[in-house]
This record gives sequence, structure tokens and C-alpha cells, in this order.
Amino acid sequence: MLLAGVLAPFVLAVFAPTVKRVAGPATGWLLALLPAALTVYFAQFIGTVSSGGTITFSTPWVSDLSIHLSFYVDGLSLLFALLISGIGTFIVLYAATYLAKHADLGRFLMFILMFMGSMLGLVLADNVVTLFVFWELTSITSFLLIGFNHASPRSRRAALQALVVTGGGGLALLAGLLLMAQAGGSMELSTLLQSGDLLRDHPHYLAILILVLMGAFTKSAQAPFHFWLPNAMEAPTPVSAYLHSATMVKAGVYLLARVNPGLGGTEIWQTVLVAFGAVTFLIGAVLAIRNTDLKLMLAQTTVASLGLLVFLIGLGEEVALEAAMAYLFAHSLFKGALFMAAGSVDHGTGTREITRLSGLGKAMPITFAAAALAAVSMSGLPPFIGFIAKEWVYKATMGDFWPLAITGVAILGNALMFAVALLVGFKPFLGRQSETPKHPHEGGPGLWLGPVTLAALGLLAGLFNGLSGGLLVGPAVWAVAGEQVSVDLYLWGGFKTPLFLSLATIALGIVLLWRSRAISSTLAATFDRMWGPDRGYDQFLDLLIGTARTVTARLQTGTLRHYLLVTMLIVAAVLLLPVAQMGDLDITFRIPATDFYIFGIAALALAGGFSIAVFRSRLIAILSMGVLGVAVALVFLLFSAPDLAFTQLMVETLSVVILALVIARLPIYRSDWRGWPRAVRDSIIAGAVGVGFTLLLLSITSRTLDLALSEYFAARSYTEAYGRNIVNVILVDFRALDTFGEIAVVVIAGVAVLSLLAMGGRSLAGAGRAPDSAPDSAPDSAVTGKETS
Amino acid sequence: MLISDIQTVLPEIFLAVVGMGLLIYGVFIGDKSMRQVSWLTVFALITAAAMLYVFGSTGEPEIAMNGLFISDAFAHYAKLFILLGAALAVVMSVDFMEREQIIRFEFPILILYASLGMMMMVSANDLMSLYIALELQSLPLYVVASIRRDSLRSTEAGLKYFVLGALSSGMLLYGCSMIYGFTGSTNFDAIAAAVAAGGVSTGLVIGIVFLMAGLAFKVSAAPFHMWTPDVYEGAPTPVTALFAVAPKIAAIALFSRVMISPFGEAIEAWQQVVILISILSMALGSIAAIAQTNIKRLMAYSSIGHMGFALVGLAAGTETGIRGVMIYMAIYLFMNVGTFAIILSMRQQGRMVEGINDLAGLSKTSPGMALALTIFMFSMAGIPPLAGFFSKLYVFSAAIEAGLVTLAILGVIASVIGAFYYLRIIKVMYFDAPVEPIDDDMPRETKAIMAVTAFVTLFFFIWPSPIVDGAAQAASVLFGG
Amino acid sequence: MEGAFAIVVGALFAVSVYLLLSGSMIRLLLGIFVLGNATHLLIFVAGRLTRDEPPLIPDGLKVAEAAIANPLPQALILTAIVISFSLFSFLLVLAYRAYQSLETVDTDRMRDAEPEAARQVLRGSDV
Repeated sequence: MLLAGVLAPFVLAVFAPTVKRVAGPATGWLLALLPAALTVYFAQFIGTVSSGGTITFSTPWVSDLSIHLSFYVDGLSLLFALLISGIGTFIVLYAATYLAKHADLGRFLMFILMFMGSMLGLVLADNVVTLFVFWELTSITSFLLIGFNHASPRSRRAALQALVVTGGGGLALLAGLLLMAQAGGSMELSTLLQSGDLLRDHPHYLAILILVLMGAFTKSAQAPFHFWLPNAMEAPTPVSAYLHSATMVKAGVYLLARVNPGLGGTEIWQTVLVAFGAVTFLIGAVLAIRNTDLKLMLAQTTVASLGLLVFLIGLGEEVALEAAMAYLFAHSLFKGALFMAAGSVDHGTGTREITRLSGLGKAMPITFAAAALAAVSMSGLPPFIGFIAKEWVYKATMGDFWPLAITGVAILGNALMFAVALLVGFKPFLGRQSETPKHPHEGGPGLWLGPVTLAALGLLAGLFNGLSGGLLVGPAVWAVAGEQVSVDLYLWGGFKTPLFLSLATIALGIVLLWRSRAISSTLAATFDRMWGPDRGYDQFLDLLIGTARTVTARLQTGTLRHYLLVTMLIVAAVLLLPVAQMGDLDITFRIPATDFYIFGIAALALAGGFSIAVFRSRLIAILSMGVLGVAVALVFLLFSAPDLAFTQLMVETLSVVILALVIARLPIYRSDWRGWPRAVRDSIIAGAVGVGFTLLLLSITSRTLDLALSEYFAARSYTEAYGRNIVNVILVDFRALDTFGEIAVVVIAGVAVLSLLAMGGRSLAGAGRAPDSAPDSAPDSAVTGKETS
Repeated sequence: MLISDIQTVLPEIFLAVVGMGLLIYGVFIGDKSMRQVSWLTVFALITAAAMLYVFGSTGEPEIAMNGLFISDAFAHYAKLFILLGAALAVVMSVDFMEREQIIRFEFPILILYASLGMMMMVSANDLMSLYIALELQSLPLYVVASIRRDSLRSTEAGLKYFVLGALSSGMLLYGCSMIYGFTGSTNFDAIAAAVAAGGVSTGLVIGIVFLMAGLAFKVSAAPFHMWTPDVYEGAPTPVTALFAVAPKIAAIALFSRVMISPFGEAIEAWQQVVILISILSMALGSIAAIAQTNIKRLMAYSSIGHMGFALVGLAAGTETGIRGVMIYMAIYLFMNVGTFAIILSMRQQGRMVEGINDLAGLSKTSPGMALALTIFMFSMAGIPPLAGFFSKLYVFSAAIEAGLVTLAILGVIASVIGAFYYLRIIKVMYFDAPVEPIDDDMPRETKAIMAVTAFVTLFFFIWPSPIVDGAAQAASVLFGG
Repeated sequence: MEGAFAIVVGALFAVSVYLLLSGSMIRLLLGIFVLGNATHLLIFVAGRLTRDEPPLIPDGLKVAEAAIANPLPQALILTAIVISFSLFSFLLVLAYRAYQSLETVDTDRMRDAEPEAARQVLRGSDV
């Protein structure tokens, strides 16, 4: 059943374009039925989960890797599932109205539904691989949605950037998850996370942690990866509201919360999360007030909120986790509402520039109401859920061992958020009505139903804090803490420190709000010219491509000689390195006393070889080849291999004749002079290879050879195959297969030679390339035949 | 030679005989027989694959020809995909070669003989048979690489490929002779016994490393990859498609068998080398691919990278590792054949184009092609739930299981970098404005191949067992299971 | 005896490597020729040298009684010689054709496949 819940959006997605064609204006209402039904479906688990139960489902998938399609509902996944399907309902409605005139609306809704399914799969997954699969699917659907307006280059860049950052982080996450599964001995999170000590004491803990954090931080836009999120605002507003504030970007936070019982609690976990979270929180809050585009302001506050959530999870105490879950819940409601309201403003007026917007309250009263309610919740004023969340943040930062600086960060950040919230929620609607590109008007119910409902829920959740705490936030905290703790949210905590800190925040926030214009322009002047990670991303790509080009140019020169050089260097290394390292070749070098003429043959072979190396004319080259070939044949003859000797003589003669024919047609450089550096280098490599082979051969021959195989053949040569020439018997009988292959090779060589000759030869060298005429190495011409100089 | 021997080697003999027959036929009829010969070759390759199952046993290892030849589940699995890859390459070549006016009847026959060589490679149970099979496979490939008479690059690439290839065969042969010199045998079983009894001396290590160098060249793993980009670009595209698939499967299978069967006991001697080759290949494949603008060159680097990933499984040296390798290669086949089906059809007004930027706006001009290529690229990037993700998952989990954590992590980093250039192609197709549309006249066969391979790549996750179970069985026989 | 030939083999390998690195096609061809001979000798010597006892079974006997030369390497070399000859003749034709179409025997100039310039330059900001 859970599986059906996850898969249903995918199935519907396939039909979305058809529904769009058939249903026309009713598309949104029709398609929204599914997420609405899913919300109800998940809501019925509230009872079980809030009394400490869990719901699981598992079916084998790739069983030999212990990959199951297994899902798991506990407080944390339920909270997320409800947010995804609930907000998703309104998003589908909103998108169908917002993009009603867009030609590709059907495709858009298809992607949105696919995303919804992926996100549900992600938060419900129990198996680590299943989780990863859905994790990457969210990245891909996000890529498709950000790039939806692909006519715009900014949007294309943003889409690819988001995919590179989150998809890349996702692959790191995979490695982390697999390592974790290996360390904990299970692929199922529910089992893994119960063996937290095993994970924390594992030698790979650090590697696991880094890899998992890479995944979480890239997805949840933690500094220094936060740059992709504001850029992703190029997407249509429904996407920003859904993916890039309420759901997908929280996947990283979800993951951290999920693995907290297994990986959390260590010093490094706390330090890293608190530090990165705090920095992200401040960066986001500061950049939010610097911006003047409504969507960008909201996007930056999302970055800030994600930072705050990571920070709270990092603190790790019970109260911090309560704060995190409460804030997460509150944030999804108010941010979703604000984004949709901002989209409605854009839709109604044609601009999102806050400096150009004012006095819309009359023309857009419903949107104003929704924006105002959501903004108050965001600013942390009672009696909204946002207020409770902020109170808890302060409670959490006042733990015993956290320094005052942490509280300071929280106050500053919250004050900035306060200012931005009120700016976004009120500034466009109050005052004198401004001139806007379009005449401001309220959109249809599809546009305002979502923001109003979400904003109202923010108020209700605050008022009925017992219910929201007991049924949603509490069970989520249990899941994150790994144990059942009592969670009791309230609005009035008495005259205690959190309340005073709240008042201080509000005071500071009002100051910031009052000076917001000046702050914004000061910040703009400071930051805009500064280097930032967004530019860093470009520089990184430039560096990557530059490196790639350099590497390719160095390694892939296109000249055969370089390739051979590399190959020979490797040969030399293979021959000499193991000897140098292990040094046990066991060589015994014996000079044979007799057979003086054997040395003569050896000398002949050497002479042939060396004169080939230094030849200056065709004649000498061919003669030397002949000498070498005959010398080798003599070796075979002397050492009891008459068959070999004959074959060698015949083949060698043929080779030399053909070679002579070819050489006669090629121009020949008389000198092989390469210049000193190259000559020395090449000689060293050649010498190393030669010495290596000599040493190795000496080592081989210093040992006694196991002749079992040869004796096997010798013994059976006559008795089984009735042959007296053992070599022949081996070839045609015992090794018939090899001979068969050999014949095939000869046939193909024949075909190949004929094939090449049949093609005929004609020059293909382009006009740009002159034939050989390098002055320093003039070839002697084949026509005149001058060979000696 | 016994009758049972012949039965074991029947598919190979069949191919050799058919090849001879086709050769004679072609000589008589001339180049205009190319189309017929091509289809007959395809038929022969498929028949050989069928014979594997009809006459082959249930996968019980059978050793034939005096211990030179082994037929087991491992060989069957590899041969099936080799024959499939070769057959698909020939099918895709028919139309292409006619359009490009490369009409030579020996072309399909050479591929047939190369396939024969590959089959003998994966069944080799003796160093010398291995060497001969390798040459039998290589020589026809050298020829088809330079078969284009009107292309400088083709000629050049052929020469480079041959010289480096001959050198690598040479290295393999030195390796073989050293191993023989140290163990007194060329038979895998006898070598395994000798290694188990006598341990591993420095000289033997050098021999093994030489053998590996030769094999690494054939799989085009770094640092023996240098021929790959030039040959991929210079050769006619169907040849490149063949190169990308069948010989790689054969060489990786051979590599696995040689490391595990005779040298399984000497894992310390070769594991570090495989790890090194694997890391170099993954890194080079991923990084160098980024700078490419020609899609065939890109595929060359991509294949180098993929071989690195496949070798991660071999580096583990365990049964799960080898299973991972085999799964990897099967999935690799589908992704690559499909991609090449598309590259083969990249024409603008009848003219071949190979630039990545020529794909701009493909999603609008040919949505079907764009969708298929998207599937292949996402899969190669290792993005779930496509097949390529699972192939990486299998090798990486084997590596982690074998304690090679660093290797697995480096692999992941390489795939992150690698994902970048696959994603760039998708971006070009979907988001860039078309300059000139790609012709919409893909031949029927090519279209079918593209569709089927895309289907397999996309839906592997629903029913993975045919490939996975086969690979598991194949891996288990190498470990005597 | 083997010691002396080990040196010869090493020297031949050195010569062939030096020739291979020359960058001229003819020297490359000669290098490969020398390499083939060196390899065959390597296998031969690795199989040990035996004087004047060819691996033949005398008439009237079923197995050789006296110590005979190791037949296996001989069989292997015989195969290797034939194969390397096939490859070598193919290489010669290939080289000749390359010369005809490229009009150079300088392998450093055979690099159309990787020209330095005239390739489109890719920048990070393009992607």
C-alpha cells in the first residue's frame, strides 16, 4: 500500500499531459485530487505513529545486493510525507492557474507529479539504496523544472548548476550510504540506526560522515554550496514554492535528522553541523536583506532557514531537536505561502521588484491577508507556530556548553529574518499604490487558496499547539532523537530568558526594518563585487575544463612516438621496479667453459642487431636483418630445434624480401640523429628495457624448470598420436586448437593484405601539409637511389 | 581430438567454416555482395549464440582440446554478449557503409573472424591459446579500423593502433614466456597448481604484470589507452561501435579469467596493479572527456572510464566482484550500442556530423532520439534508477565488501566528474537552440536497436534477474562453484 | 650457455626499443622486426637450451629414452613465428599505404587525428 502511495504520482504523471488536453481549465482541480487523497491517506497514520508505532512495507527488488523496495513510516517521515502531499495539493492547483496559458503546462504538471513521487519515496525509504534512487530522482526532476523556461540562458545555467551540485553530492552520498551499510551490517535504515555505536566507533566513521554530509549539504544548500538555490529561482514560482523552499531542499535536513541516531552525537558531527549551519544561517539572512527581488529575498531566507535547521540538528540536544522539527514544520507552511503570494503579486502586477511595489492591499486583499499571516509567523510573533519555533531555538542555544556566540548568531539571524519577513509580507501591500507593468488584480481561487490555507494553518498550529506538538512535531522528534521523549509545545513560557531574547530580536528587527533600504544598498555595494561561490562555480568549471584540456594535450599528443615512449617507460618500470623493490631474482651466472663458437653466434646476432640500430643506408639495413635472422636460426639449429631453424630461415627470408620491397619505395633518412637530450633519454629507456630482460631471463634460467608438461607430451607423442617428431605432434594434435587459430590468423592476414592493396594508394595529404622536406634530415630520394654519402 | 571435443568447440568451428564460405562467395561475387554477406554474418553470429545453448552443456565446465579450451557458464555468458554486440554492430553497419560508400565485402567477414577470436579468448585455458586467440581477434580489428580509403584519420589511426597493438601482444607474449619459464606450464590449471605449491617469485610477478599490460591494452585501460581516442574517431562509426563493445567484453572476461583461474592464489601480486590501472582509467576517462567536442572521441574517453569502473570489480578479486564486472559489461553493451545507434544517425542534410554541439535542440527536431540519448547518458552517468546505476552499484559494493574503500570512494569521485559531461550532452539537446536539425531518416534496423537498448537500459531495474543471475552463475564457476 | 644468450636477448630488446623511439617509419618497421626475433629467442631460452638432442622419438621406441630438448617452447615459437610473420607483412602494407596517403614517413607528422588548433574551445561559462 505504501508502495502504491509512492508510485501513484508517477503513474498520474504519465497521464498529466493527456488530462491537460482533455480537461482544459479543470486540469488543476482534477490532478490535485491525487495529492489530496495521499494527504488523507498519510493522515490516517497519525494515530499509530503518535502512539509510538511505525508502519513498514517491504518487497524484494535486487535481492542479491539486499536492495529492497522498503518503506518506513515514523514521526519524521510522516511529517515530511504530510507536508509533501499537503503542500503538493495546493501547488498543483496553483501551477495549473499560474501557468494556465503556457503551452507546456501538461509537461510541467507531469514533472511536478514525478517530483512529488520521488520526494515521497525519499522520505519514506527504509533501504539506503532505495533512498538514494529517489534522492537522485528529485535532483533530476528539479533539473527539468528549473530549466522549464529553456529559452533563457540564465535558466539553463541554473538548471545544470543545480543538477551538477546536487547530483554530484548525491553520488558522494551513495558512497557514504554504502559504507554505512557495510559498517552497520544492514541496508535498512531502521536496523542500521539502532546500531549507532557500531557506526560511530567504526574506522570508516569519518569517511561515512564526510560523504553523507556532502550529500546533505549540497542538497540543502549549505555554505559553500548555497549558491545554486537562489539561481534556481529562475524556475516558475510554483517550483520555487514547492521544491526550493518547502520540500526538496529540506531533503538534506531530512537526511541529517534521519541519520542522527546513527551518526550524530559525536564531537565532529556537532562541530561541523553547528559551524556550517551557523555560517549558512547568517549568509542567507544577510543576503536576503540585500536583495530587492521578492523571490530572491525569499530564496535567501530559505538558505538561512536551512542553515538554522542544520545548526539545530548539530546541537543535538533534545530541546534543539524539538526546535528543529517545530521550525521545519513552521517554515514549510509560511515559506510555501509567502512564495505563492509573491508569485501572485508577480502574476498580478508583472514585477517582483520590492522597490516598485506598494499599496497593493486594496487590489489584492486575499493575497495580502495570506502574505501578512505567513509573514507574521515567519517573523516569530505570537500566536503563530513560528513564534513557538523561535522560542525553542533560543531554549536550545542556551544549553550549558554552548558559548554565548551561538545565541548571538541566533539573535542576529532571527532579527534579519524578522525584517525580511515584514518587508516581504507588508511592504508591497501598504502605502500608496505604485505604478506597475500590469494593472494589479487578484488571481483566481487556484492562486489564493494555497497561500491562504497554509498561512492559516500556521496560525492554527500555533494556537492548537498541543495538537501540533503531540501529533506531528513530537513523533518526529522521537524519530530524530532515536528515543521517545515527551514534547510539549506552548506559547507562553513565562518571563524567562527566551522571551527576553525574543523581545531583543524584535527590537533589533525593527531597527533593521527601519534602515532596510540603506542596509540593502550598503550590502549591495560591498558584496556584489566580491568573489562568491557562484563565481567560484564558474571558475571551478573553467579550471576543470582547463585541466582536462591540458591533460589531454599532454597525454594525447597524437604522435605515435610519444605513445611508444610511454609504453616503453612502462615496460622498463615493470621490469625493474619489482626487482628494485623485492630484489630476490636468485641469479646464478655460469660461464660455460666449452663451445667457443656459441659465442661466435651470439656475437653475430649482436652485430646484426647493432648494425640495424645504426644503419645509414637501405642496403646495410637489409643485410643486417639477414644477419640477425640467420644468427637466430643458427641458435635454433645448434640447440636442438631443427624445425624452428628451418621455419625461421624461410620466414626470415620472406620478411626481408618484402621489407626490402617496401623500403625501396619509402624515402629514408640516413641519419637517426635525435639531438642529445632525446638520444640520451631514448638510450636510457632502451638500456633499461634490455637490462631488465637480461636479468629476468637469467633469473628464469637459474631455476630448474618443471618439465612435467613437456614430458607429458613426449610420453604420449608416439603412444597416442603416433608421431615421432614431438614438436609436430604437439602442434597438430595436442595443440590442434592453437594451430587452428594460427591458420585463421594467416588467412586473415592474407585477406587484410589483399584488402589494403586493393584499395590502392593515393595521396590524401591536404594542401596544408608539404611532403617530407625537412632540411635537417633530407631523405635520399628513391628515384636517384643515392644511398651512401 | 574426440567427438565430445568437437561438440564443445562447435560454435567456433561453425563460425570459422561459415567465414570461409562467405569469403569464397564474396570473392566470386565481389563487393556488391556486401549486403548479403552482412546479413549472412549476422545470421551466423546469432546461430553461433544459439548453438552455445543447444549444444553447450548446462554450464558445467567442460575442458576440451587437451586442456586448451574451456567451456563453462562464464564463457557462455561472455560469448553471448560478444556475439550480440558484434551482430548489432554489423546490422548497424549495413546501411551506413552503403551511404558512406565503403563497400567492401570482407568487412563483415573480418568482424566474424574477430568475433571468433573473441570467443576463443574467453574460452582460453592456456597461455598460448590465449595469445593466439588475442591475435585472431586483433588482426581483423586492425584491418577494419583502417578500412576507410578516403580518410587520413582512418589510415593514421590504423597504423597507430597496429603498432601499439602489436607491441602489447608482444608484452603479453613476454609475460606468457616468463610465466612458462617460472612455472613450467602454459596450462591455467597447471599454473594454478604451481603457484599454489611454489608461491610467487619476483620474476613471476613481472610475468603476470606483462600479461596484464597486454590485456589492459585490449580493454583500453590507462595507461595503455592511448590508441583509443584516435581509433574511435578515425574508424568508420559502425567499427567504432564494434570496438566499444564486443572486444571490450572479451578482453575484460579474459582478464578476469586469467587473474582468477591461474593466479587466484597470487592476488597480492596483481591486485595493486589492477587497482592502479582502474584508478588511472577512471580518472583519465572522466577528466579528459570533459575537454572533448567530438562525440566519438568523447565516447572513447567514456569507454576508458567505464573500463576503469569495471576493473574495480576485478580489483576486489572476489566472486561478487567478478559478478559485478560481468553485470557491468552486459549493461555497458546496451548503453553503448544504443548510443552508437544514435551517433550513426547524426547527419545534417545527408552529411555525417560528429560534434556534440550538432546535437543542439535535438529534443525539438527528433524527440525520440533525444529521449533515447537522454536515457543512455543518464545511465552512463550512473544516475538511478537506470541500468548504469546498478552496474556501478554492483562493482562498488563488491569493492567495499572486499575492503577497498578508498578505491570505491575514488570511483565515486570519478563518476561525479564523469556525470558532468554526460549531463552536458543532455543540456545541449534539451536547452540549446538548434542550429541545423539532424536528419530524420534513421534506418529501421538502427531505430529498432536504439529503441530496444533504451528500453533495456530504462527498465533493467524492474527485472534485473536475467542479467544478474547469469553473471552470478558465470562468476561462481571461476571460483569453482 | 643461457647466460650468454640472456645478454643477447637483452641487447636485442634494447636495440629494438631504440629503433621504435626514432620517429621514422622505416626504423619503426626494423624495430618491430628485431623485437620479433628477440621475443622468439626469449621464449627459446626461457625453455632452457639443450645441445644436439632434437625432440624426436627414435625409430623403434615408443618414448624417447635419452634426455631430449624441451619440445614445448619449440612448438610455441613455431606458432609465434608464423603469427608474427603474418602481422609483420600486414604492417608493411599498412605502413606503405600510410606513406602513400600521408606523404610522410615521419610518424611525428602523422597526427591529423589530434590537431592542436582549429578545435572548438570550450569554456566553463558555456556550459
